[in-house]
Amino acid sequence: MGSNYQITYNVDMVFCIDCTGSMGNIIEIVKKNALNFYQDVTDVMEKKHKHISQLRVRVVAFRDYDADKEKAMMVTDFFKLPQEAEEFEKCVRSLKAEGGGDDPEDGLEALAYAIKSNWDTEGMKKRQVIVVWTDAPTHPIGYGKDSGYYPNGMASDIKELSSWWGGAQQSGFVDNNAKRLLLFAPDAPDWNVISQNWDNVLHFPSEAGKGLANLEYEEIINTISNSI
Amino acid sequence: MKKANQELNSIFSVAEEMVKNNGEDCFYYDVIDNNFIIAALDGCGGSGSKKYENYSGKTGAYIASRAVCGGIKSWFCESNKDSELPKYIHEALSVCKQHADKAGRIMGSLGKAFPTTASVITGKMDGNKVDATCYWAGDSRCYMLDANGLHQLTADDLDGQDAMSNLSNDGVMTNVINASTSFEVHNKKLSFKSPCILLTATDGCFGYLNSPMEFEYLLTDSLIKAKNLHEWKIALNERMHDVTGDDYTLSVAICGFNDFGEIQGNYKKRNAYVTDTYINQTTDVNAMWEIYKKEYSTYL
Repeated sequence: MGSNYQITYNVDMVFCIDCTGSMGNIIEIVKKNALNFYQDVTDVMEKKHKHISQLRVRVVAFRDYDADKEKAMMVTDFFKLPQEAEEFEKCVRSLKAEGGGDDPEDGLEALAYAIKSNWDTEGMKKRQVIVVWTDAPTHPIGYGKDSGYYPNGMASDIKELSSWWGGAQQSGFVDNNAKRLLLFAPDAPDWNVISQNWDNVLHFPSEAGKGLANLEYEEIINTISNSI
Repeated sequence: MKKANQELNSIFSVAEEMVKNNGEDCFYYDVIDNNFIIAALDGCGGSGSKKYENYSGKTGAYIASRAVCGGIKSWFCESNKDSELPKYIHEALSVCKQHADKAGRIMGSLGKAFPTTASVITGKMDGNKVDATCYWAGDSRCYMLDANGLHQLTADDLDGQDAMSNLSNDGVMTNVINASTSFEVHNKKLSFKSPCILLTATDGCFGYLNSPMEFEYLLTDSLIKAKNLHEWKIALNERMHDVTGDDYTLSVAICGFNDFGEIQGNYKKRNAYVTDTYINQTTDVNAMWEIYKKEYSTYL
């Protein structure tokens, strides 16, 4: 025992980014926020002497299966940071806001992909953080089922998706203690249903974080970092 | 045979904050007539991250631990009845809310208004025993240290299995004092043979060690190597400073000893046993915990 002993953290983050046409005016800000987010979290953790031994980040870019077919979902593997920071940055910078069809988007399917990530189960302590940036409400899950590009094995409804997230009674695909969900999404269905009913959620109700004040951003980063 | 001392010998706290002037822990100790109190509180920095302009930009966690500590102090000085402690805590939270900025825009279950843990022991020497009551919410703990070792008196409000698993599983608290949701302040009456030492501690004291055995070792090894009580306090501070990754607060009540030498004598044999059996061993720490926890968990 003694001063050589140090608790370390394995942190996984999944960034779900709405890349539909309506995001056109804010997509660059969201991309910048995504690129800064993990660094802001790790900076706060380091300040609190919480040392991250492994950090991985993954991107899920989403649109609308019904309107965008094969371009509805782009999912990457985890990037190991800082080793693969360049590839991660390149991926985020390549995202374009286009398509989307009607107002609601397939954000729940993106969330489903994120929840079923290949999470790191090693390490002394872990965090599994999902961040969603969107300016739109969600379609009911399965809305784009007939598009011909809809994935197999998707949750059948919001109830099943909730069970994938898990709760106090039953674990889902994310570690119950490690999971954190951060929504930069409007106060609209089904984001507000998730915000009100799921464990370990922070929700900033706006269009993809638009109008987020510095103090609010600081509160969000501190909530995520200090609960790590 | 030396006659046992039937008095409270000493009462004190050791504490340190990670970020100067922004520490979210708080403590209180006092003696009124023959009743004493030790308390350690830990404002929850994650769920209580919201900063309040009306409180000079301090976080809800910072304000909560201090306000609730003030409520505990008022309760001890004015009432000291078991049933009334929650009322004083709710009043303290109500004052926090009353003067707070209007609710922010951030929603969701991770954020709470003015969240804090609390671990409190009140006690009274009665002949050769100490009658104590523990009050707690969250993951701060009450302990009793006697010649048989360290005993955790209060069950953590975490979804982990026990003190060992809670070191690594880092769970979200299932019950915490706050102004957003309902909570419970547990209480438990216990009686201990004196001499003994009672402690209340925030997780910064014990949560960054390899095992619960190491916390006992930290307490007793620093004690038997100190020349006097003042040196013990300094050593406790130094040792916790070395291992922690958080603010820490330890409040201590030493009961029924004749002098410092007797305190050391009471724990010397036990310290040697813990050192040989657990600290200087390379056996799997979980296997050692299975043996250690029988005595450690006697009061849980």
